[in-house]
Amino acid sequence: MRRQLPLLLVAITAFFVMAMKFFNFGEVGAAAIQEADIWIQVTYEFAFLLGAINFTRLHYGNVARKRPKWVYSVVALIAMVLTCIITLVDGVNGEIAVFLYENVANRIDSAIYALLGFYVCSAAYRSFKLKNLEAGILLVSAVLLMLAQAPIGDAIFPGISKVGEWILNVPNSAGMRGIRLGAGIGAYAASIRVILGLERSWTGSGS
Amino acid sequence: MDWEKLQYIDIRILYVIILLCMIIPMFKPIGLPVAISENSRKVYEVIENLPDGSVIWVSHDTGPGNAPELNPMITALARQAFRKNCKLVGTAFFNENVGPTLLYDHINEVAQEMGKEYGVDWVNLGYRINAEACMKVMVDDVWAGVGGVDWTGTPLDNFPLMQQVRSIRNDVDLIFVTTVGSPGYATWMTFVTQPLNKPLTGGASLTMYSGVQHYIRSGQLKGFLGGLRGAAEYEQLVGHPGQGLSGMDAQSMGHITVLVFLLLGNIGYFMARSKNNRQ
Amino acid sequence: MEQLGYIVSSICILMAWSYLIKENALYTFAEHLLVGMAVGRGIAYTIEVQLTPRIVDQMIGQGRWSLLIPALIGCLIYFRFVKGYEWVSRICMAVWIGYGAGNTLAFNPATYMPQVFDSFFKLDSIDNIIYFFVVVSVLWYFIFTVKKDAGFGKQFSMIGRYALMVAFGSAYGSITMAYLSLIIGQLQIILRDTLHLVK
Repeated sequence: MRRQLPLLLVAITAFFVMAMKFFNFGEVGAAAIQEADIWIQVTYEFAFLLGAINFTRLHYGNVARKRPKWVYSVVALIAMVLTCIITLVDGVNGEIAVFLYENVANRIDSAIYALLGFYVCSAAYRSFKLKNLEAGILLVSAVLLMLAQAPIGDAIFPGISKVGEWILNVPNSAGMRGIRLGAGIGAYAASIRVILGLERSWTGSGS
Repeated sequence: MDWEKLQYIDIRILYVIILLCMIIPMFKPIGLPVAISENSRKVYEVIENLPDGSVIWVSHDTGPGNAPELNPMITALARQAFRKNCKLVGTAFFNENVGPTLLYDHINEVAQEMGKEYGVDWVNLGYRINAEACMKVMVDDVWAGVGGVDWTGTPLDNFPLMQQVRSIRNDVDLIFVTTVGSPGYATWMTFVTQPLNKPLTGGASLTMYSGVQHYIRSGQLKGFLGGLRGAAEYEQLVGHPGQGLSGMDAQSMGHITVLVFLLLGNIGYFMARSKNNRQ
Repeated sequence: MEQLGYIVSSICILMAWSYLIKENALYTFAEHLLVGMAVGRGIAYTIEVQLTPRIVDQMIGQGRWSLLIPALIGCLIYFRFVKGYEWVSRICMAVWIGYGAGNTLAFNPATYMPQVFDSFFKLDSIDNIIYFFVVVSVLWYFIFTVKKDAGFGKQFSMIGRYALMVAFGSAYGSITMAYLSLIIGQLQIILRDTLHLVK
């Protein structure tokens, strides 16, 4: 029962959604699927605390057991509580809430993401070696595209932006399309397996 | 010279070099011209060909990481749309913390400059959980999809624009999406533009730009802007240089630096390999 | 106030970038601060913009008490924290997974048909013929149920492989550009907005 009920629910929900799309049940059907879509939104809205509870359990556990770097977990928990209170009191578009989030969290997030720029440079230096034909093709197309996309490429090699456009529009696009079509077929197969109950990894283990 | 040592330069030295190479053009701009690509021109033209007063749905589906690439696109779109007296309805499905605020800030900056009023000429509906379900509902009932409120929780009754925009099917003429992943252009294409046969355009972070080319080719995307370069091209077409164009010189120098690093690494590798072969 | 914001922003950027030297207390502090603030703002946004209108305007105001059913289904997810009753949370997950799988099968095929038509029915130029050839070779490369040890099968598969290398090289070039422009964004905040050294 504990395993069968969720699997049955997956199949019922999926068949309902597909039936509403593939068959015409008139206005009743249209209203039913719209209500179902709103119900799905509501389920997600009321499950919003899942991440916050996991986050709190993890960091509270670090503090309670005095694990290494537990002080930072205190910082994380205080930041969560204070930000939540300030945003609720001041409003999502409130001056203080926006000031704090845009100038602190947003900046840290984008700066950490920008670190990838440095890592890409070190990857170009350390790992991108011309070891065989395939690596060579990869290297040449990467170099051509980098030169084509930057304005300096056209200044050094006039017309290279057109070469870059051709590479993007023909071989790159064709390769990506092949990948996308293959991935699409894979997604259908995975969805069918899930609906038929053949894919049960999401049910997890335990009681 | 021991060429093999070219493979073993301390990476922190390279970080300093890349920083310097990108900072110097900021002090001494080179002013290189930016050629306009076909894809960017298509984006500009599909919006320019809309009748004046059309409704454009703009979805700023970005996180804080890729926002510097995509924010200039929103600013330039707002400029072109408001010049044509088009109305803008906005959402931001990728990140609830950042997307709605960035969308508001960048459209508001242009709106105030061009005398456009929030609620009359543009509205920000913000983020909603589960983009798929929300989009499916908004196809026929925008108000129900967003729960009847805008991004700050203000009821939509207060906004004259939302009296005329009740469904995407009947009241929206174009969808403009800036995207970094999922939900993004693919979600809009699957649940809105493909079923309704509505035009879809916008821009993507360059991390995924090479992956959208086949959608442009098949006509499912009416052109697409590619990262900061695409934003720079679009700004040129709109006739108002901004953040996109200002970063192009530094971008050029950054590319040259990366290519030099590539060359150094390969020279060191080949020298080491030929030395091993000789031994 | 704006200038104060830029100063705070610059300090935060430098704290994050201190990781380039080595992992340190400043970076770890910034990281935990970010995660805490993100979770906090997410909770507040959901309560203010999504839950409050749903409960106050729709359930109580419009009398749509049927929305209590999905609300309760959504709340079942919290049973994953209750020892012995974790299986109850799978009911909520089942609804989500079924909805997603149903949408995939119902809506995705329509997005692929234009792709197929564009690849296989437009052979009116050299570029389109190359395009068709490359798409078929890439698809052939990904078929693993047929032996491709030698002969035409292997050669054709290798062409697909080389085409994939071009695609991945283009992707790498694009990604490099993307990440470099992110560095530019941060530098503009420090040099232009905070220190006013550049325009």
